[in-house]
Amino acid sequence: MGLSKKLVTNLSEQKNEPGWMTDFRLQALQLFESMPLPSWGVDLKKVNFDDLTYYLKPAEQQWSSWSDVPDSIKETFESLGVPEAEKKFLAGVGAQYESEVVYKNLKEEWAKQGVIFVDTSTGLREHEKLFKTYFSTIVKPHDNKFAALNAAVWSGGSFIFIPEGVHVELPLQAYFRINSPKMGQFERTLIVAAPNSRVHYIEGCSAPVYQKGSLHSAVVEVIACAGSRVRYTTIQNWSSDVYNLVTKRAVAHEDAAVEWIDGNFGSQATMKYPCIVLQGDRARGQLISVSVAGNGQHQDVGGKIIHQGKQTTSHIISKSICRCGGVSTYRGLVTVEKTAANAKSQVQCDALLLDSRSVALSKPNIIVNRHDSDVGHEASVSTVDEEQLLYLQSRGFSVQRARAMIVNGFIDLFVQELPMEYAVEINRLIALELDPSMRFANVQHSGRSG
Amino acid sequence: MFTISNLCVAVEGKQILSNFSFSCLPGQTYLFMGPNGSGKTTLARTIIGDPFCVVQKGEIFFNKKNILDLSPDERAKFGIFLAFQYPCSIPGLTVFSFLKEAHRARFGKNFEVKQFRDLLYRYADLLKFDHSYLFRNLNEGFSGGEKKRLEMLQLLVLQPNLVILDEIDSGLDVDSATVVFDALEHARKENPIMAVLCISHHPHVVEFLKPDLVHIISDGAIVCSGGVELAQKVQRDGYNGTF
Amino acid sequence: MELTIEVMKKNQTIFLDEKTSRDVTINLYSHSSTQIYDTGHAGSVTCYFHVGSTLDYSFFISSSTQKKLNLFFVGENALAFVKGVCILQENQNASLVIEQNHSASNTESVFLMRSLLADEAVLYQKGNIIVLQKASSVAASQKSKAITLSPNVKVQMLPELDVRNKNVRCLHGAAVGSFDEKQLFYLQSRGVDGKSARQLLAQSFLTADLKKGKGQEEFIEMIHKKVQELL
Repeated sequence: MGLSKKLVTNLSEQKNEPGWMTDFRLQALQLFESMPLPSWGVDLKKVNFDDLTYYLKPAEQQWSSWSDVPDSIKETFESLGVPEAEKKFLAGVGAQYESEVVYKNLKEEWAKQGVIFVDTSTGLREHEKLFKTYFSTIVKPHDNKFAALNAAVWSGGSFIFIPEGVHVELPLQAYFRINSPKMGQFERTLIVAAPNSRVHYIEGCSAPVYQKGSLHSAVVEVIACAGSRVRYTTIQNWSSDVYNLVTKRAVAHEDAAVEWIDGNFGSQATMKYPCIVLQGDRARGQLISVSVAGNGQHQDVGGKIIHQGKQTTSHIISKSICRCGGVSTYRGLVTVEKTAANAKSQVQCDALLLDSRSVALSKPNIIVNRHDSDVGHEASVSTVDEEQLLYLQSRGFSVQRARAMIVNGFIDLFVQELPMEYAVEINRLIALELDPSMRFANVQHSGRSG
Repeated sequence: MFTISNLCVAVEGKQILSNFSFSCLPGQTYLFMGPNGSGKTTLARTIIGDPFCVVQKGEIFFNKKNILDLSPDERAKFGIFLAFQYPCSIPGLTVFSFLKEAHRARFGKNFEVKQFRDLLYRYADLLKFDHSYLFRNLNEGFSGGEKKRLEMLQLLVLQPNLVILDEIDSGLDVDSATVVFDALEHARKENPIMAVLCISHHPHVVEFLKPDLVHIISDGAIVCSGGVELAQKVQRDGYNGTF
Repeated sequence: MELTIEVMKKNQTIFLDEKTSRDVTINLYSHSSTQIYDTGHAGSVTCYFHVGSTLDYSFFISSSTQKKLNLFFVGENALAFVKGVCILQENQNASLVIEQNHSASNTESVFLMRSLLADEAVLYQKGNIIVLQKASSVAASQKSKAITLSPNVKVQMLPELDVRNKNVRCLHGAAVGSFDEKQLFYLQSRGVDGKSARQLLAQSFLTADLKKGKGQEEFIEMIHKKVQELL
């Protein structure tokens, strides 16, 4: 069924949603239909909105058994060293028995602390008042065409609420939500961190996610109340026919800190600009992002930081790698508004071109409306240094291994921010991307400090 | 053990080495001196396989194998080590990770992290490196002297059979030079067949290194050879006064 | 009004100012070398660099203006070194768009810009470095620094890059800030009063990239005078 009022209404009914949500969806649909495609960014002409499947029942999104999973997917998991249980979960096979026990214990822990971590529809159903207070307050449907689309057909995603003063030590991982599909197309995530709380949310996986449906248009809203700290880590490796268009925005209140750690691999085209509004005084924002654009891929990514409060600080590190004709665009915005006294911002965006078929573009925008700011922006484009290659080769590393080590070193600032198991996977993913023949080699990870 | 025959090398179209020939025996130390531009560094980099050093003619045999057929990493695994004149830095790659993997590539066996760490700490102490340096990014923020000492640390870890030191003494103060050459002696004791080719344009390097033979290179070939007294002559009379 | 200048020889000097035609095209023929002093030209200056040509271009903006500078490197081994100084006050409004376009190998372009903004001044600066696929071994850089003196100043910088050949060294730097407190304090601790310290810092900041040589001295004098007027 194509996109229509009927589809949206059915969707809402199937989820047993309250009337206000159905109305919200229908209004968003109208907006979506009236808005034009963006005139900048990746080429979206091939996306046929009527041709997409908008709501798949959980069973339809998964293979029914491990033996049905395509060999290429299985092989990739092998090479990346993804643990057995995770493999099956991520392939959507639903054999999550091992993780169920872990999840059950964590669920009890969270319940004791008053932490809410459920999928979005459950959040709406079981915590309606809280949900309604924050839902769509940060990313409104009229923000852009894809935010409108998501508002109309959202399904899946996480609803997280951390009560005042609670520090959640263990990262909350999207794949713990085992009662819902692993990675929906139109996920809508809402995270509310009450004053002085702490949470780290991780979504995604370095293994390619094979989707039925080629458009991924997600919305993430994060509210970091005074003194809280929210870190949101995304590692996505979409299969090569996916259009990945995401609107992620956070508002940081007084003394709050928000960190977006964003890894973009795969996909046909990605448009993603995590945004942090530093609304409160002394709010801090950080964005560390990595993107790899390979054959036929266009990664149009970056970030937006808006300084509004006093003494706010921001830091953006963006690293892109382009090879085999891939295109990488950094699109960034740093604004220091008139109210943002003593703002400090530092942006570093570097692109590594591995060959001359690939393209590195950078389109930053720096707007400063005050005299007491300290704003800096540095960008570079370079290639793998011949001297570095020779140096590593002279120590016994093959030229392919040397190249992978240099590229891994290039994104090290990003990898350092990941939990260890993800760091290992990312290093291997890079090595694989650069040299697919290493797929079956016994690749040892060189480890961090001894 | 190691023989260079009639080697002709050009860099960026310019002829640098002309019919260069040399042979060396295991366990011996050779000092190559010569004025700037004589071809000393080109020699070093040709041996390790720098693609910018284009070999037009000649052969290089190491343990009966023509190494010109091998890639730089194959030559390294074969036991050849070059201490670079200007070692480059590699952001994001720690000294520890780098050396652990290089060690495994050389010896084919994988030490446990703790075992390797103990080994590395021992060598670091020899080179007067604070252990924290081992967890810094390779050569990033290292002073010139620290970079040279790190080249020596790599030498100790990789235990090569043929060592080429490209201006290892340049920019080092007396204390650092002592540490570096003491480490070289230590490496020689651990591996007595190791041959050392030391390149320097400062004659006073003989105060630290006791070469068995001194060769002077000029215009891309060896122009004269002798013992330590040859180096001392250069120190007194300069290159012009010596040949 | 258009003006075309052909440069064939070495050591040519060109002066541009408010009275010069709006659209200037300069052809720098092979192995020529040129120095341009621009004390207030408004409009566009387009330079075509042929084999081995070099350019040293200094410009000064001190009033409301719209300026465009396009550098097209069509011949190998060409080099351009552009230094700009901008001082704006009251409600002056300046827009500067510069493009460094490399379509030939072994070419190099450097653009350095320093600005001092006071009162309600507005500066819009867009810089684009373009390296085409066929241009190998290109080194191109842009560095812009602006010091803002009052709360109503507005600055917008868009340092863009479009690189399609891997053998490049491309760098961009943009910074907006105020006087370095440490430097101010240092001068004051040596007996220099606040006002003079600011003047000194502003003058040294703005002229830091200008070589000391013939012609440059007059340029530097002009900048010093303007700073004294302003502060």
